[in-house]
Amino acid sequence: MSPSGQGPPDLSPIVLPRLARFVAFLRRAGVSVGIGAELDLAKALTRIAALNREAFLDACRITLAKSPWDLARLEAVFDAYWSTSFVPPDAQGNLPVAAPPRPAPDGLPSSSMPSGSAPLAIERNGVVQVGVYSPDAPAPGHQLSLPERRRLAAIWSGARRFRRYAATLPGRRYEPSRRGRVDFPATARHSLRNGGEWVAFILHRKKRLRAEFAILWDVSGSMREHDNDLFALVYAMQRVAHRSRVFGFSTHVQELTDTIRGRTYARAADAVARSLSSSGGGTRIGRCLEDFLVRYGALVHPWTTVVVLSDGWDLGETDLLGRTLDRIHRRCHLLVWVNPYADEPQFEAATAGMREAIRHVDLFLAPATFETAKPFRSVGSRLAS
Amino acid sequence: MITRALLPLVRTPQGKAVGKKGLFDDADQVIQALGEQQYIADRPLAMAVYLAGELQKPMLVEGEPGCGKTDIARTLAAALDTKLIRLQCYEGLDARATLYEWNYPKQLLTIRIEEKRKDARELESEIFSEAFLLKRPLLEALTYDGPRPPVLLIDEIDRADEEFEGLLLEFLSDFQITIPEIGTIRGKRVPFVVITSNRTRELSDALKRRCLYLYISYPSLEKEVAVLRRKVPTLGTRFAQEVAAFVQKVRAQEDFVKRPGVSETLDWASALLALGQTKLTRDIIEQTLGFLVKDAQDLQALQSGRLDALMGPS
Repeated sequence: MSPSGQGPPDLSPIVLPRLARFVAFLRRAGVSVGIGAELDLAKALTRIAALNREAFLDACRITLAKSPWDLARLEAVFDAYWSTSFVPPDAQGNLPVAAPPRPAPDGLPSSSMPSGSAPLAIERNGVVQVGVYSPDAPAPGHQLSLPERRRLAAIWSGARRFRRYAATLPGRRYEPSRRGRVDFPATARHSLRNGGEWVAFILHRKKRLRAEFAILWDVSGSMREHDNDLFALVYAMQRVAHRSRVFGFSTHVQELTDTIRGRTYARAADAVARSLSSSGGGTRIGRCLEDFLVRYGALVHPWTTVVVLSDGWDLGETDLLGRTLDRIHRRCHLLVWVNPYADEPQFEAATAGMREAIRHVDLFLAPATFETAKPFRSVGSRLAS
Repeated sequence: MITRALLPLVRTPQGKAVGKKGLFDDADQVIQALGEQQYIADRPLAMAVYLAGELQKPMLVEGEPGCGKTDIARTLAAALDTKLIRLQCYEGLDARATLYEWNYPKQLLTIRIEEKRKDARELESEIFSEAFLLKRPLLEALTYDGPRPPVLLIDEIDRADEEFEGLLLEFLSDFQITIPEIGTIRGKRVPFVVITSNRTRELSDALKRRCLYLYISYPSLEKEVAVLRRKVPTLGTRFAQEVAAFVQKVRAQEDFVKRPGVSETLDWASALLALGQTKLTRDIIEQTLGFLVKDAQDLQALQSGRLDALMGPS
């Protein structure tokens, strides 16, 4: 593969500018390539037969891509750049591609991921949704605004309490324990308190402080008026449990973790509102949860708490919802349903979806539960009975 | 075909870099070396291993469970005839389990023995020296003194938490570890680092930036047959094809929670051989499905009629 060489190839004058333009082209196509990766590619090209197309493409894959989505995108645009027949679609040479969505853990392309060039919202059945006006339809788009500071602090504190309630994972702090590892500093202190005599080993183990959430937020039209409350809760839960993953669902599942993570509340709200702009009306909770299990099933472990934020208004098959919730319930640590109407005294599980859901969930809460200091007790017990 | 856009490359002189520091001469040699250890490597994998050695960068391998990610490191260590140092990641993994730990019992005993003979300052410098250090995998890989650099396998990093990724950054970029009491320890040679992940969570950009990336998906039918023939040589060619074709059909079931990887195929083939089978029948498939399908829902789906559809008309 590598040619017999007389010395290092001098790539600098002609090839490096071309490589730089290729990397810029990739960035416009949505593949985030850093300077380090670009330098790695340049170094790699000095060590392989750069004229061998496959070797060159392999080197690009290995050095520039950092996820399966990057790989698919890189392969798609590689030929577009390195062939003579490609004509950029506009004067600036911008590729008409959307920003990269987060890939599914199994590497499968997401249903919301545009397969072609244009960022269209394509439903599962392949029908492109065209805007249809109805006077009863909720206002288009999600309006997320910053709640009152004191209220946000209360929700934040509730999310922390919930993390402790659902904690299954060891934190960095230790607690004294009858079984566990020897706490040598404590053993030494104990020994000093007894005149330097070695009395006993003091044991400790890691406190269970951390939780892992998979948050499924119903972003359909019927939930539009609760968007602000639920987003505040979602944001707080994502921030207090760093390993949490957030998904929005209505007729399809869309991951929102990267849209929220690392951003201030206002920026995250703005990004989420824009990212949900293509979500249509109607809810298929069962189908969405099933899709979630197929694509992100690896996230549901015995130490994961799955939180569904929905009013249970389901237009899909109720049997499927029951089966899917049962599967999730058997695989996760806790299955929690947060219904915005749950704390209303006259609330009853009237919808078929809600009736089915109550049979499978461990906790049935109202969003207001997170704003009070009351313990997390299921408000669904009276409904179930 | 060389395209016009690639023509500038023609004008550049070609050849290998001077001052070679890698472990292999080229990707072909990687394929050959791994093949000698019964590992069938395709060209992208071989290229990734070759470039990781040449550029002295860690290799991040992602992919489906059971597709041979961990085996790469194991085989590579065998091919290079060097030591494999393995760090299995889990929740709560911390510096004490990965970098180093002070040997507290030894320190306590030394204090008790030496406290009357030495002053406190002297004693302190003694008990915080390398003799009282317990080396954990990362430090062990850095200070390994063999003839060739060791292969360090950081397995299933997605199981560890994000703090651990932060801990790795200094090691992966500069191949050094800072111990406050001693100073910075820099390795004589850069270990060959293989990091694997099953993508149960997204890794941080900082970590990914420091690594070369390789994604291993399920193998094609031909490759799977070749793997079966290589790893289970007593399996006949025809039977191997039959087994691989059935596994490919099971793998094509998109609604399955856990689709079988290559390791499941190998286990299943070995089980079939142990049972003295030379042909796939419905009965024997039903009896041994547990080797192939590891989720109760999937098992139920197969047992309740889908198996017939997969087996096709007899």
